Amino acid sequence: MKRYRFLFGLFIFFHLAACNSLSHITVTDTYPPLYPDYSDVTLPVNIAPLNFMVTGATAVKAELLLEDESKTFRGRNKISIPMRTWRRLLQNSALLQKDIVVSVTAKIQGTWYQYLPFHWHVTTDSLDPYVSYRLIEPGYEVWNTIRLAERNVENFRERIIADNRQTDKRCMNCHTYGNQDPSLSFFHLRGPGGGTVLNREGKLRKLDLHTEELLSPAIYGNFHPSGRFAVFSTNLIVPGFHTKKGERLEVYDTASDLIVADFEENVIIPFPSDFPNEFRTFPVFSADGSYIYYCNAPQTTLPDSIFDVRYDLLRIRFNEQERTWGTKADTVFSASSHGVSVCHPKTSPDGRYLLFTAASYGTFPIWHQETDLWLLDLQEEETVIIDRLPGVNSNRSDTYHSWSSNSRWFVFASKRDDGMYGKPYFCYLDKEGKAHKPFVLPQKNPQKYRHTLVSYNLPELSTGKLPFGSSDIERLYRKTAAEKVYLKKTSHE
Amino acid sequence: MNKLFKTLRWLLPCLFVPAIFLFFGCLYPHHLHYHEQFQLFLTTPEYFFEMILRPGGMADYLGTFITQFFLFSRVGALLMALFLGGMYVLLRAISQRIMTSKASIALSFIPPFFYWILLCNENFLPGGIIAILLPLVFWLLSLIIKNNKKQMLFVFILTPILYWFAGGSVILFTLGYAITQRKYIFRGVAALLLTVALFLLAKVLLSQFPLPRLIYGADYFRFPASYPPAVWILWLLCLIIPSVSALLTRLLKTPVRETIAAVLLSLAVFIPGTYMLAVNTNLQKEEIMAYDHYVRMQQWDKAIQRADKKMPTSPLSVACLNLSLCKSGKMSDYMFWYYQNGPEGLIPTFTRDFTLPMITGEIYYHLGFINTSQRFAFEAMESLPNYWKSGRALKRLAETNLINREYKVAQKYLHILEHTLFYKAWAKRTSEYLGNEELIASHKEWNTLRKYRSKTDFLDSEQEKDMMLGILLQQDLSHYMAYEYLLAYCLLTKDLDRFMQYFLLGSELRYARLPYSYQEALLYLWSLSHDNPIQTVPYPISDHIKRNLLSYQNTYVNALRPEEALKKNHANTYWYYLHFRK
Repeated sequence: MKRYRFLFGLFIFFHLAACNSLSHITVTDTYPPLYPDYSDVTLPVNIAPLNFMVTGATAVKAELLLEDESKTFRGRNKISIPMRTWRRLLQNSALLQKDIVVSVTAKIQGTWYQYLPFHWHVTTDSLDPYVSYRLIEPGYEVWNTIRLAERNVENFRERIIADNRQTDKRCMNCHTYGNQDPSLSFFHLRGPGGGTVLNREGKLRKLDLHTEELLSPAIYGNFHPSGRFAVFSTNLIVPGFHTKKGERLEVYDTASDLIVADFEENVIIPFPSDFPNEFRTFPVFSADGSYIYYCNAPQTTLPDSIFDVRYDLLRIRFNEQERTWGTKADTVFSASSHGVSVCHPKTSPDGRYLLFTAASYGTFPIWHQETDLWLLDLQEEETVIIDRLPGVNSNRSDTYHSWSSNSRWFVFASKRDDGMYGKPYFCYLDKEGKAHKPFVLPQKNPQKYRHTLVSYNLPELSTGKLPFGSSDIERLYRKTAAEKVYLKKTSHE
Repeated sequence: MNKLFKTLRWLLPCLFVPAIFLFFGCLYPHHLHYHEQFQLFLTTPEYFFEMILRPGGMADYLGTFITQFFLFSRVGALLMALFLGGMYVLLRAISQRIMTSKASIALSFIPPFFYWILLCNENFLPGGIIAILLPLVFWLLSLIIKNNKKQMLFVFILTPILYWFAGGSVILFTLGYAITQRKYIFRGVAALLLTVALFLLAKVLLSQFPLPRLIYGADYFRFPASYPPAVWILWLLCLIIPSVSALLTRLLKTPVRETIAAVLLSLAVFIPGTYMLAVNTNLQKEEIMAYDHYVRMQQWDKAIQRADKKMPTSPLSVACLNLSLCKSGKMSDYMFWYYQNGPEGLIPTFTRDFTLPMITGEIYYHLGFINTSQRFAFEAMESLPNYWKSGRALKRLAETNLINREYKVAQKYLHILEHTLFYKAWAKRTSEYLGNEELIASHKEWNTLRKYRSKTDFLDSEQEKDMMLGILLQQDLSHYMAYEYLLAYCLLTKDLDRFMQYFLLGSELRYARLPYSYQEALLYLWSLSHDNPIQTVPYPISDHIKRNLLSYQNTYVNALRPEEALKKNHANTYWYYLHFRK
């Protein structure tokens, strides 16, 4: 009896094994339904493993081939690549200057499919090892948890650097680096007890970047390369809510202007008052600090004319020694004549490029589905050469970008996945200025993005780990009074 | 006397537990629905780990597990009765273990009675009971262990685990142990020190939480930054009652005295307890929650029947009633038969909390303001002070995204809901609609809302609700609900010029006769500028409304106190609202 049972068991085992074997494979001429889409992307040599899943699969096999070296990984519906194997593979790929070829076989609804192989091109141009972002649910007026996080892109370690649960649920704006340097950064903590949290040379300070002459406390900002100054906009911001499908939230300024803050003398240098009364926002310094790029639009009645507000890209001199603004502003890109509005200009650290967001109107591109990244070559002084980055942009919002310190990479927040939840994508810009297909920040569990209810806002790259954590921010919030600033009287050359 | 005591012993629990069931099942059922809608228990390991990653997390996890059953109020009431009854049983057993006392039988009812009274406040969470029950169970277990060393070992090993599971209520376990260690005081002190050390260690490990939060542990209260003293009192009661029992036994030396004390204490507990329960029971809130529940479940008739029994007065209840009337096709006729609370009782203005946007979002949803409804659901969930998610809000978000053809976002929410016990079936059914235009077209509600939703883009303005409704109506002149809300808004704001202007937009709507409230408004308007309005009015006004106006005018002109005089026969007319409601 026992023998029969054994034979019967053996029969069942082999029968099941045969059912599950790879002997009946349907070969397809399509790419696998990967999530996230990591097919044919360019990777930095220092990126964490690109773990992925195959949508709808109950069994997955992935073969990573580099010349004659092959590694096979299996999983139920996802592929997790061990860190050590991954590192060796990337280094060898960069050394040999050969692509990694990935062949995926997946079992979907009982059938095994062999998909077209795709390539991972590895470049020795490293990505800055840290990226910071704000984790927030993509809401409207109300916020719940807001956390600023720092993620090591070389592995999966994420650290919370500020948490609004420790600061009485105060609103926190995104974290911004200067020169991609971890010892130079700021973010705004709003409400009573808040201020601009400045991390400079490893020391944390809290500043009240507001005087009664200004429209508002400092909002959008960017550091001068010296780290002594930062340029900010001051804005009277009003939210509005769209009624049509696909549109969501509109945020517009009823007034806006620019200031430069001097962090050594706690002085605010306002934009020259003899310029016409216009909307000015999203200022950034040029790579050498001699210019300030900003977005400018003529004043109009809002919200009635909201669909007609278009910002051009302008620049004005800034004299670091004299601490003065220039006397004339140049139009760098007349976006309004192209029917678009410029937002969030960011100059590359090597001074060659300016990456900006082009929306069809307004100043809040994050909820504009048509929003794209455009690249402006600053070397061409005479003609305006714009690369509309067709291989980078999606049909959803692509914005909130920042550069890597070597100017070869940029990171941006894209809602391409579902139109709602933004995620950080990395894009390689090669020496010829060609942008490669971007890829999303890898996660240990690739399903994480499917489950999460938070957006990754304003990802910013950094060359190192930040010298503070959420407890430091809590202490600063509770125990330190914000430093006052004073307005400088004459502000232009 | 002994017989009397025996009777008390079974009679009190037999009264107490069914009373809780009846209270929550019949008098307070919508408080249970209210709790259910502001939490989301997920069956995923991620949710489990997310919850248990802080002290008291397991109690909260079990609390949300239980609260999901509150979707069915009778089941919720039964659970509440069982858990509060269980608290009594444990306290009684602990008291008996410390020292057998007949007199103290009623004292063990004090903590569950106290928690019952706390639960009359909708912000005290039912899950807190778990955080009390866990240490009581382990306290009882420690008392069952006879061997002192084994008992000590049990307490010292269990304390950290119990702290992690139940939060600061572990103090019941350690302090309870300390109280019983008269011979070995050091052991008791050591157990207490261990508890304090655990609180401090938790602060070091979880620096993002303030210390009081780590001492509190589980979520007894919806607002985690608030630490109601009632919780400390509850802990104290759980601790001192077994000790008081021991004291009573020593004081009351004869069985007769003990029985008399038991009777007196029973009266002393139950009479003030019942009084406190009555004082803390908030039936006005229960009423709002009831209307909200009917609207959520689309039980329009139930809302109207409730209003017929007792007229609602709060803006939220009235707003729910108006929606129910409109969905039943009765608003334009009968809205003034009920108390009207101005435009806030039609479409309440947005506030940053978790209750009002959820209710107002329902109105916008049924009107076809899909984006606004989505915003309100999102904002309501974001406003939840304890950072939890809401099953109701996620369901609505899935629906609005489905209607807006944002299938990937809808899929995300449905995927989450598929990991719940009671939303799973709906989520699975709804998943079949994703991207399936034909199937959606066959869905009565979603297809209608797709037809009605805003097709032109404008920024919505809560200050100009009539403009928004007007735009919606002009897109589809057959949109009855938009028309009726638009006219109701004008009537409630007493803006009769606009009423007249918008009234004409209804030319394409096919009413069998003019709705009563419109007839009243039109006749009144006409009477303002014409000498003989009854004869000359060009609108099809029914005879009884004409007679009514004459009677109203007569009383209004001649009565000393017209408001009082008109109340009896004309309080259900628009004219009465126009003249006397603020």
